[in-house]
Amino acid sequence: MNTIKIITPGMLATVQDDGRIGHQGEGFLNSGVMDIFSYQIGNALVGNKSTDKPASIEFGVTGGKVKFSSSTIVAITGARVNAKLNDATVSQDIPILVNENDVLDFTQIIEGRFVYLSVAGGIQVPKVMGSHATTLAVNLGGFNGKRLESGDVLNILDASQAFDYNTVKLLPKMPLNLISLIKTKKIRIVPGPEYDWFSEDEWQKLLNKPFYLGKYIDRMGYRIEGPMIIFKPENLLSEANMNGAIQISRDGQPIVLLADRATHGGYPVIAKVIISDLGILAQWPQHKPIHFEKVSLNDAWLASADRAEVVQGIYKSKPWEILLHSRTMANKIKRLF
Amino acid sequence: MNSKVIFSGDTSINVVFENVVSEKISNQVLSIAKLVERQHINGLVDIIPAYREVTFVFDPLVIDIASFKQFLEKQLNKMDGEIVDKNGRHYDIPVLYNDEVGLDLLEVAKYHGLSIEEVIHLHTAQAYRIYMLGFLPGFAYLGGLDVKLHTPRKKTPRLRIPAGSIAIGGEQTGYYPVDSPGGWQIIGQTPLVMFDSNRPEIKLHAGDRMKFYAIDKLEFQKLKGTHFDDFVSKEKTL
Repeated sequence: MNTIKIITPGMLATVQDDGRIGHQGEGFLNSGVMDIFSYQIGNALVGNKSTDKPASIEFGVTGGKVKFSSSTIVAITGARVNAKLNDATVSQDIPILVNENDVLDFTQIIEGRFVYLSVAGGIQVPKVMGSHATTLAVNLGGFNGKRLESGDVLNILDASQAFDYNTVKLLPKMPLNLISLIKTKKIRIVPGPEYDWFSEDEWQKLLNKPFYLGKYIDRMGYRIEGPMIIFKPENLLSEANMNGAIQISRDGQPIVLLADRATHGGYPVIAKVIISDLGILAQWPQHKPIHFEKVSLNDAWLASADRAEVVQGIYKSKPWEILLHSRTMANKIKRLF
Repeated sequence: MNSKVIFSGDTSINVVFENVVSEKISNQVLSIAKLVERQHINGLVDIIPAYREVTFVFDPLVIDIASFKQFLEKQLNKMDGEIVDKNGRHYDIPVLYNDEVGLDLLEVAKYHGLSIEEVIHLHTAQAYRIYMLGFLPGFAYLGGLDVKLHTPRKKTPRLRIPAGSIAIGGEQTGYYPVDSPGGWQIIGQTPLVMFDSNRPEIKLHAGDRMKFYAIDKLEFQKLKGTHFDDFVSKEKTL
């Protein structure tokens, strides 16, 4: 079995996919990646089918340093890092060929908060309840249900197992100027289930005042600070928590619920960050003001379709094949002499 | 009519009933959840029932949202006013009630001016309905606690409550399936393993009923570590 060894895991590295979806009603937290677009691009770049729910490694707050036991194709997406393969600088958002004993170092995050390492064939961990996602709260899924530590060795496939070498391919066209870390001025929202618990004045505060990330931000959710938002004094029975839901707690401050949120909660949800902007919020800089913009459901769905199209575009151009052809042939020739 | 179908975001739609805890509403919630589940609708990725609503999570790129919403409205109209009786399963759960594992048992008794025996008697007298599962895997929101036992949550939550602890929080009672922080008053502990990350399947469902019965320390030690699933299936074959 080929492996990837964690030399430095950084602050919080876990194995994730797009979440353990379908079991929230039995109390299973979704978990999964914080920035789904970066995760999808990473896996598209190395040729992993999205329907397989390929597992990537998510590094939070700081990046990491890893070593490969054999040749394969990887991609680094999400937060911006200084990446070095052995001693040479490598780019993000492109497929990278790594060989036996290569060390990939992207310890320092320059911009953003979550960086993804995707490998051809996906990180080989068993699916639990249909997903590779790690839920640290109950030690479930991922790599033995835990955060990655120095010295952990994870199984991967090598390129010969992940791809078919024998078909004749033309050189693909790489998507140009693709950057998986998206930056916007505004975070788009749609009304939440309790939108009518809030008066017009409270809505105006949410839409017209700047908010800032607070001290407490983690994979469960981001507390944000701004004007106090009040709601009608009624006790809400616990309801399902959605990824991106903007919950208003009793002190009037919003919490945006994220990947590791509890399955149910009892605070009214004024609005929800649209799925396309969730990753942008997850990567949001600490001191940059957050402005919320209310959009229609239709606009939210169009935004989802646009993102899906970008990812599909990568699959169509098959960028990983460039590496398979040029480098593997060169290596084969090298071995002959 | 107090029920409605609303979008709760760009990837979910809720069927919402009145904001009260009621068996009738819970039955309606579970019926509509089950009914939709049976349709195997393409692009519908999760169905999450709660006390008074069901959340349907969808993939907007796959599902035909307008017709799904219409379908839900039609089902809701048919259901309005109708009491759907769902026959859930019944489970008996052994519990050791003492002040060693029931860290707040004395406090709860004192708070209500009851003896410990009275607290145990009241807590084991009824079968509780599982209104919903959530919070943690296999955690059950149980309804039907005797008013004489309604106890406010602790002012400062404990950082770690042992798995299996049986507790009271306000008008609710339940158990902690895994070690977790929590503010409920702990009155006992079940020896059964209610959740194991190595065997993550959950056999319980909303609509099932759960009754607790008191056991002694010896029995507790004998049963300690038995999986809930094994205990239940063994009970059935006896």
